[in-house]
Amino acid sequence: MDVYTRHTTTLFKIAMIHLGNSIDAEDAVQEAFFKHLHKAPTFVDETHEKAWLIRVLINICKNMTRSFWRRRTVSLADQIISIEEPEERQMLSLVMQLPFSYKTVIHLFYYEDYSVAEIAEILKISQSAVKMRLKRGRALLKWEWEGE
Amino acid sequence: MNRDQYKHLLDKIEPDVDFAERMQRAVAQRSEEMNALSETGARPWQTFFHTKKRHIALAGAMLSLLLIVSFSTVLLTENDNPTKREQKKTMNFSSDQVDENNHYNLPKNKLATSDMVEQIIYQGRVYLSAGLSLESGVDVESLLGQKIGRVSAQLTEGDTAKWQRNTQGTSQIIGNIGESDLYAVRGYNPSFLLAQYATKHGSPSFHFYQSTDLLADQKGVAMLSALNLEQTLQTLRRLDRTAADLDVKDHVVQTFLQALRDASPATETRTMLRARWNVTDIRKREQDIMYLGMQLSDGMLVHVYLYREGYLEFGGLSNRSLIYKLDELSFAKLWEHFSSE
Repeated sequence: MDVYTRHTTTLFKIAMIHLGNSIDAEDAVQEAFFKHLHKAPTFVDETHEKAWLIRVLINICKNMTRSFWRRRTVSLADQIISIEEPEERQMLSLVMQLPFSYKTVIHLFYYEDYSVAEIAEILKISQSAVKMRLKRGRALLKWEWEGE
Repeated sequence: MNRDQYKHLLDKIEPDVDFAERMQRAVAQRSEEMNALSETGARPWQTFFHTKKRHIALAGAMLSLLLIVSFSTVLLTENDNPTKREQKKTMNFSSDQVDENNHYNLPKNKLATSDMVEQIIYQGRVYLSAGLSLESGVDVESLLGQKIGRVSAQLTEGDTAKWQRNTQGTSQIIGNIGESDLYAVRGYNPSFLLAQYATKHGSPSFHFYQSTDLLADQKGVAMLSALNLEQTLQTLRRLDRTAADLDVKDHVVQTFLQALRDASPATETRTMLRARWNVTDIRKREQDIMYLGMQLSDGMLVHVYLYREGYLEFGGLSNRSLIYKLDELSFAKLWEHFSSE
């Protein structure tokens, strides 16, 4: 299995969460793979490779959201439209409306199952910063994350 | 929400089947281009004007020229008008936006909160993301009605009532869904349903917004009428788990429709109903709440929730959902059918 097959889905989801539309997400994932081909260090294993790609992708997404040329008509329609249940559509919409840094940690923690320490390592921030972002992200969503 | 529900939700965001292959091809092509450049010794800026992007560069240059001319004109005009210059200095800057060094601070980002659902306000009515979708394969264009106007993205939290007043009798559309065009949906009254046109993997599709303002406090027949349900309903099916579909001609469906026609609006809100049952426990939720789809002949799928004890909810997003209390016997027959595997 090549790097594209291994990590495409993970990277696409992360890009969608941060950019909100599939066109920008595709651009961002492509850029991350391009950097992987030309700038990647030697990886210890696939986990290491995945974490590196995630960090690179998040930085690309961050730059894209700051870009003057970024599409103004950011809409979740192209993905939300494929989610039929209104309640789920709303949940997804709310996650995507979170501040950038909060949704990064929410997604890595709750979807990718990374620990606080691992997220801190990937994002190069302190563990307490990760915990704070998780707490604030959850509070903004007003979700009850049972048992967590 | 818990971790499993979040995962379940995010599992639905998938790249298309060719995505990985497309990435591989695109990256390979970029690498080849980069290698070709380094072999010829050309710098990217030297080839830039010989690529397909040259029109962007030309447009950029012309735009810059235009901006410089406009800016110079404004400066010249303003220098002749010191009063106006003074006015501009203080204009719109509240004291908390200007610090002690007279630097303007950007206002804090107004964060969307969970109360801030996708919303449009048109002619004083509030439209929320609808409990409607299109079945795959439906000719979207056939449902595309007249263009209503363009949504202006000005709605922020707490502004709903203000814009309900301000948009009455105007053609203005305010929302928090980004700037986009809104259309009527053929066969449906725009006072009830509007659609945002979008593309999904290159194919046209709709995102629907519904207003329940004119249907609230009315009997179920008003909802049936708004959705043309009695003319177009074809099948009823359970969407959250497997169960046999019910054809419109089935006695259970006919009894159910009659019960819905006569049903009165429930006094309970969505929040109250959801609080009554443990909706975050997926297994228990399946026993107490059913998620059904009503398939219409025009390709629409109407999403409704049934709650144990005879409630039906249409809308499914907020306390603006329509909730009816149905006749218990008719409701029980439908519930019994969809409870069995």
